[in-house]
Amino acid sequence: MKFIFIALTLLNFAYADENVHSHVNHQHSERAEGLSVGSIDPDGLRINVDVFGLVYDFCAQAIEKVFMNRNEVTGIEVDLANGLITIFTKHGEDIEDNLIRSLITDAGYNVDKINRR
Amino acid sequence: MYKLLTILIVCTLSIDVFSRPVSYPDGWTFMSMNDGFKNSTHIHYSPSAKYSIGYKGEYWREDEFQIHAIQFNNLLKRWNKKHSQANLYLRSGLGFLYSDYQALNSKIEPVIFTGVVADWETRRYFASYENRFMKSIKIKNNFRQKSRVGIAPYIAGFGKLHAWLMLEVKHAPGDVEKFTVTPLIRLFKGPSLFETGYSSKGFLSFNFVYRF
Repeated sequence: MKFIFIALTLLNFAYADENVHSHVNHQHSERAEGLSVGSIDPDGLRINVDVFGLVYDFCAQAIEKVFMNRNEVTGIEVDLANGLITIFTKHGEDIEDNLIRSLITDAGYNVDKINRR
Repeated sequence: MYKLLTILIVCTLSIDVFSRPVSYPDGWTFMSMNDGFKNSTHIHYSPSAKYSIGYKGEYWREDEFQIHAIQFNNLLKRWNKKHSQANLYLRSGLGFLYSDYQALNSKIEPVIFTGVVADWETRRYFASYENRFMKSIKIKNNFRQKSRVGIAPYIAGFGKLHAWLMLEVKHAPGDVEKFTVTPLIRLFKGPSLFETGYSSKGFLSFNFVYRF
């Protein structure tokens, strides 16, 4: 009985935390989940990568770590709900599709498609 | 006092399995699993997403022995889908088993163990199975397996607090009571994962994982 009470209390806390953050994100971001690490260069590229296997935070941390080690990258946005990684680059910098695929595959995931804008 | 020190050391260092045996390239993982049978610690380093190597320490309270081993974890196969991922791992270890139990003549023996881990998960559902065969010369040989199912009561975004409700069934053919059922709650946020449960045998479980 004690365990159930503690579990429900923790869940209540967890759910409340999620509600608060969702509300904040809704106000300040066009997507449900904002920039997860780094910053955005307004003159840089925005590379959207659809990824297979991106189901939880530990997966996304792997992707973050791999790309944030690169000089061309200023920030990463992770959208777990849609399996989407957005890579923000410095002005005048780009990363070839083959390299993106290779980095994500080596991290243990698969690339579906890559779009730039 | 010696037992207490051993438990503290193992709890402080510890890692076990329910979480991924292999991390991302150049990633470290620290895991601690503590239940009614044992306290265990696993610290591993993943040179690639395919394998990891690390230290595994266990203290089995009732049987009064410790294991200190080098453990190798290999990702045999991964299935990445748009909204799910499944994995099959092989875990193997080699080290020594130590016991201070008075009736034993041999106090230290080599020990080997191996087993598979399989998991499947979406952002809402989770299922896993793992087993392990362990063999020493005389002190202890055993086989254990366990399975888990879980559900996330809400879907949390990246970097938010995630919660899971899980049910674990352990099967130990060599024990008098062969099955143990444990409902658990798992919480994780960022690189930290914590879970606790209360088993059908009346034991509290406490597990912790940190990735860096």
